[in-house]
Amino acid sequence: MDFSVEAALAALPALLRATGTNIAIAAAAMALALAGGILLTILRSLKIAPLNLVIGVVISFIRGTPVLIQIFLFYYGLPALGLQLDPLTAGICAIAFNSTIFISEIMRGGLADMDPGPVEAAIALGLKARAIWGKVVIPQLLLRILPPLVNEATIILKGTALLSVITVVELFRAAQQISATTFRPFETMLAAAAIILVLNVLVSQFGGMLERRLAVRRG
Amino acid sequence: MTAPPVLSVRGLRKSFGAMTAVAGVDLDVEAGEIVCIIGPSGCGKSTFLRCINYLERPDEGTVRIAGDYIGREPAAAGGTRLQSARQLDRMRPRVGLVFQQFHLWPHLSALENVARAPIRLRGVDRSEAEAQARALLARFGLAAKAGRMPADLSGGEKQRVAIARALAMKPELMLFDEPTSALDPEVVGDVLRLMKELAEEGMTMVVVTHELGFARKVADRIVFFDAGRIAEMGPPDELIDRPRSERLRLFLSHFQ
Repeated sequence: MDFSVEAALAALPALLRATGTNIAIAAAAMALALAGGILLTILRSLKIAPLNLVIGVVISFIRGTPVLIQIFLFYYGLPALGLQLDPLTAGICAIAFNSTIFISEIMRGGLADMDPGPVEAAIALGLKARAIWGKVVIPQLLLRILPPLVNEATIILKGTALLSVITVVELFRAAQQISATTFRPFETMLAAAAIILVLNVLVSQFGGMLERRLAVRRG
Repeated sequence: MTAPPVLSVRGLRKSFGAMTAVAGVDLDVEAGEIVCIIGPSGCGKSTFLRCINYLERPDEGTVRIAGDYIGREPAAAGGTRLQSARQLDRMRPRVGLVFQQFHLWPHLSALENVARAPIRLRGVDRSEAEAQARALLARFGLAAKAGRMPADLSGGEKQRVAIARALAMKPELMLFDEPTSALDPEVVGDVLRLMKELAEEGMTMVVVTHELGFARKVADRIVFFDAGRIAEMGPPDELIDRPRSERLRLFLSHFQ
């Protein structure tokens, strides 16, 4: 097979322009998922049995089905419930929802092996539940689960490629469109993959740096 | 009229499943008094301390801080009822608790550890709370460590920060749960000296400890806990030098 480096390079400028969409989708989804994960973790800690039962079913569904199907459900399924989202919004919501579930599972594990002592100290001082979550539990939890969170961020970034199936013009959709005119799908897709790879290496590096700088705060 | 005792405990009981940790304790501690609690491990002395501010909820009994009920109060219909979380949170700052394992907040600096609760709870603004925290830390020889994270502090320094954190709420009563048991021998003296200073300033203190030397020098009264009960109680010299019960004699013999 002849691999044309020129074809890959020629596709790059257009691909890089489309990459901004993936970065924006990933950033929005990660922010939503982090907020959602924290909220879900607090909800689950309230130990309201019927609520936790529902949450448990949702978790099994999200963990047990392909994210591609979840994206379809948000885009094609929600209109049946009277909620019509544009492709970009539906896609961000689907990825964020999926990731919320995984982050809440990461948080549950993090909470389970967190030292209860600092929380006891906060209770003893008379801090209210809200302050204890906000100032003691969540900051420590985030520091503790930073490595799996960074991992989740790379999964989200890769996952943005899936939004091409609901017509979001992002990196891989752009790659398909370019291939359709240049007849160089292999080179174009590989170039798109390389872009995501570079971005994810940067995310991992940034995560590692953050981890080192915050190490002293983990206690 | 005389002021009510700073701490007044009546009929306190606490079980964990089939295991009875505290089996009915009455104790009054007057203002400025230092009470040291000694006893074999597992005798319920730490649980008793944690029941005072309802970190553990006692099964029965009442606790009053300077006359005010904490955790459980008499109900109008007779008997007692549990206080709401809000009532409890209002009472808790009046009692400072120092833990064996310090339990500092690892993501906050020494200064923030001390200033955080006053900012949230006493309505003190940040700069004032930080000035107070700095003054407390300086008094404890930690002026240079204010910006350090707990992970960068030695055990003795952590415990001094923890004591400062509790004092920042200006409690009426300080509880110490084996405050030197997790420390290296060479820094135990620093922390004990600090506690002695507090005692001399008139702070009311209940100290669970294995440091008999400290108890003898500082305590007004020593309480010997055994099997969840106060087995013996009295002034240090009397209790340590002339134990009445065989159990206390045996316990003290381990320290010789």
